[in-house]
Amino acid sequence: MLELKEVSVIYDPHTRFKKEALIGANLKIYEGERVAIIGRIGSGKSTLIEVISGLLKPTSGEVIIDNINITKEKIKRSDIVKKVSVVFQHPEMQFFAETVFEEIAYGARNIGIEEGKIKDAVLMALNDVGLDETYLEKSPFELSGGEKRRVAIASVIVMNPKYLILDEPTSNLDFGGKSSVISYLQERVARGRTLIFVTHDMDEAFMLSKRIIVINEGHIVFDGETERFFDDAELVERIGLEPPFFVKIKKTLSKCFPDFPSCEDYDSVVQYLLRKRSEYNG
Amino acid sequence: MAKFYFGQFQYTQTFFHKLNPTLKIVLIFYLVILLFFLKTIEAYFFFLVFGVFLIILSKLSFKSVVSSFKPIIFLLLFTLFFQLFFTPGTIVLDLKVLKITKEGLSLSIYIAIRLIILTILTFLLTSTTTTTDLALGFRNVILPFKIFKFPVEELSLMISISLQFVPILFEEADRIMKAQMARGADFESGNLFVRARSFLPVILPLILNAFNRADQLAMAMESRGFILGMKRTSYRVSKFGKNEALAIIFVLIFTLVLFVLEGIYA
Repeated sequence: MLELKEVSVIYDPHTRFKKEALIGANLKIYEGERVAIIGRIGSGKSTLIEVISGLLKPTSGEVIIDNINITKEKIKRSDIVKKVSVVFQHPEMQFFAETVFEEIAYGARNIGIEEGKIKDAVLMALNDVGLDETYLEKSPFELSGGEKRRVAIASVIVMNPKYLILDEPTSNLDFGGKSSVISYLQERVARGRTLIFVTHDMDEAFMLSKRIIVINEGHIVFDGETERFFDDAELVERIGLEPPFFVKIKKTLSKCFPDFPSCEDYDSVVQYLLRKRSEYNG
Repeated sequence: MAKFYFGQFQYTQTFFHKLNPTLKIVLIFYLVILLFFLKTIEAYFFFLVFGVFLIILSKLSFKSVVSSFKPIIFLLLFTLFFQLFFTPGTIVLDLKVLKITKEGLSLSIYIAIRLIILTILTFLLTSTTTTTDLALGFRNVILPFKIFKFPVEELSLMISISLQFVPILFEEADRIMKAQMARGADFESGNLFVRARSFLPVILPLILNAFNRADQLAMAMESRGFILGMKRTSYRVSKFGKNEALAIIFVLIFTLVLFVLEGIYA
């Protein structure tokens, strides 16, 4: 379990540029959960993931990863990333190696995977993001946007972190790149892992998460089921977010069809729409 | 959020902040030259006190002043070591392998104070002047060279852009470092060689991104009609008023006192 106890982060304290990025955050994320962290730009989302992953020491409060208090105990970076790791926004901007293999192997070597086992680990990570071994010798800089993003995700999952954090995993991708990243995240990357992702895309948050954490001006203002959050139109609007397309459609259709199913289950919605179409067609 | 870096502009409204940037550059340059003409330790100490006084006057944060010395510590120690042990003269302390001489001791004190004063002056200039003002000031300083067909406008534009890139590059380096740390990179352990090597995955993407950024900037400038060598006008106008006159008088009095001290103690 990942736990945050009264965590606050203040940038530039004692100066006129003082900014409270996170204020008294309390949070528990359990194994196997799929959590979306949403909020407006500058709300404190990135600070939160930096704190969770141990990259930023909070001004006050405690961060506990699987009963290890990383704010109090001195833990090696390579040990933390085996538990929690982050794929940052535009991860392809951090590429440096000549080949895809070397790029992915970087993380594996850092955590001390034996040289003989690195190729298998790299291949497994590459397969998890839907790329095959023909990519190993390619330059990561020559790949398409979607492929680069998938290599970047592979370069983190090669360390097999228990909790995987993704910061805007589909930003700046075209439709094809976006859907391929989402589908591999859903089908393979999330398997057996806790997935935490930050997003501005409400459709993505709706599709990928079961739980939503909403941050506004450094405060956690909502922490609960995804659907419950989007059902509260007033709260969504107050925070300045837009409901996902699916929720908007559901609301519109629910006015016409009172028996419209819950949007928890996509298949039932599709079945419902198909049934309605055949009813109308006679 | 990026960490504080050496000489980063600190926003406060003081006499030094408001001073004409061109004059500020000229005065700092004058003080640097003046420093190299000093011969007595008393004058050096007076200069050091003057530098500290200017920092207090500019209301710069104490933490930033202390951190500004971090980059020069190695250089300072390195220079001190060589001056202290390898200057020939009257031996004061004989350590068999190494010998400390009277001349070496006094030379190392002179050099240490000189380096500290130089750091203070540079720190003062960049911490109290915005990058835009710094570029404008520099342009005005080199403007007379235009009569020798010196590319003043191009050079000042290059400097202005480079200065504005500094905080961006620092932020980007911070971002890349965090991203590589998320892949298990450790920048703090190991010997100097290992640590230097561990920075390769930070430096390479940083340079690559800087080139991409420069390329995009060049295209954006061209698309807004930038032509190399065209005559330019400036939105900011250099003003010369009471503050500037006061600053010149102040520096002249300081110079006079320095020469008096030099005369007394020489």
